[in-house]
Amino acid sequence: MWHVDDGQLHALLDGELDTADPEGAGAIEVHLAECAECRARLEAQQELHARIHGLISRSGPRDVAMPPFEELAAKAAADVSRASRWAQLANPQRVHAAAWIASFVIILAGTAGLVLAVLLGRFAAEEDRGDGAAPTVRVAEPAITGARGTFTRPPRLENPEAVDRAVRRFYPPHLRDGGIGGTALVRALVDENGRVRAREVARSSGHHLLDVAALRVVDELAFTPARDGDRRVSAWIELPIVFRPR
Amino acid sequence: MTVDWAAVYRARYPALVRFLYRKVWDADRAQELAQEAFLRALGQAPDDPVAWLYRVAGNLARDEARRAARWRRGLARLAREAAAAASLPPEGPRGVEQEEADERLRRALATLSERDRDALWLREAGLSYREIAAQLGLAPGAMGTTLARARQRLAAAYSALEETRVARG
Repeated sequence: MWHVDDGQLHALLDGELDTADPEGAGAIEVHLAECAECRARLEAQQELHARIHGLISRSGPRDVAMPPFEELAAKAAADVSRASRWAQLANPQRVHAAAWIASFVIILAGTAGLVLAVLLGRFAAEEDRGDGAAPTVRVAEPAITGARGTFTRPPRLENPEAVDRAVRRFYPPHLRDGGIGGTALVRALVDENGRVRAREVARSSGHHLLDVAALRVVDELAFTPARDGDRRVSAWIELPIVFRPR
Repeated sequence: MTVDWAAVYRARYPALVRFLYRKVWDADRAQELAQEAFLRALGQAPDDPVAWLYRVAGNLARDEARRAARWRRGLARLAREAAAAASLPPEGPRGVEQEEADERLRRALATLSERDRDALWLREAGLSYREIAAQLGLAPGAMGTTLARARQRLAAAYSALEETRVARG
């Protein structure tokens, strides 16, 4: 004789069993009417269900002040109009002057960035490798957002398009079609031969399956190893793997 | 398809704040994050607005928790250094009963896996099994079992903490 399992009991208590389904709420209710053992278990689970609900609902703020929605909508509108004011600046007369200013700023920022990157690189090289909270260097490399270790040149992706290909391959179809996406930041150790020796999720995408897929994507990639002078060295990198749903 | 965010906001805002509170354990911060989640929502038109909202809110809370952890680590180190310097006695216990219960709940929750915790929060926030399953990457048919186990573990951990408190007197 079959019995109702805890999962079914909790689904019943959560109002998630379908009464129309022949194996759903109907069948379970019939069984409960006949089986004293399962009825006793239902009571115990009911008590547990109520206790947990009580514990959780008692915790936290009781009276949540709700600002009017209009306030929020106005704030969102203000953000948008700020953005469009910037867009209006782009009229033909101004574009010419702005382009000159912009290129000057870019050159200036680029120089400053280069100096900063060199300084940060020195700083990072002195950091203890074992401390996970240590800052990472941002390098202007396609896709790779950070690298650590002792090197004069960070590892490079041999073929950036391979990331897209692997993402397409490993993106779980039910998440992709279900509109579920995210970005997983993967930290990987690229050895002196350019191979991925170790990797971990540094920042979750919010979905376990996407995190797992991101690790598989990184496993597929080939790198040009980092160099310290003319020597090839291993280095840690950080690589955001982006899953965009349909 | 357009979404009537005003209606979603009025129906779901308090529950979303409570959901966020249980992730960041700070009422003001929970409010700010809920506002932020709705700000991001306006102008978007996802198929399932509520599930989408909770996903965004969950991600915001996760980023927040990471920042908070770094901040706390720094703070704890400063406090240790300061205490060592002045050899101050540690802070005494706080009196309020609900605060104790909250703290106990937090510690009991810490013994659960992140997936079990999220399943409990999302359920408590009124999401359906199908919506929760989609967010956690589980099969909807497995939700009953996941929640049953999560509730049993939480109750056991909470009871154990209550007993240690009674034993301590």
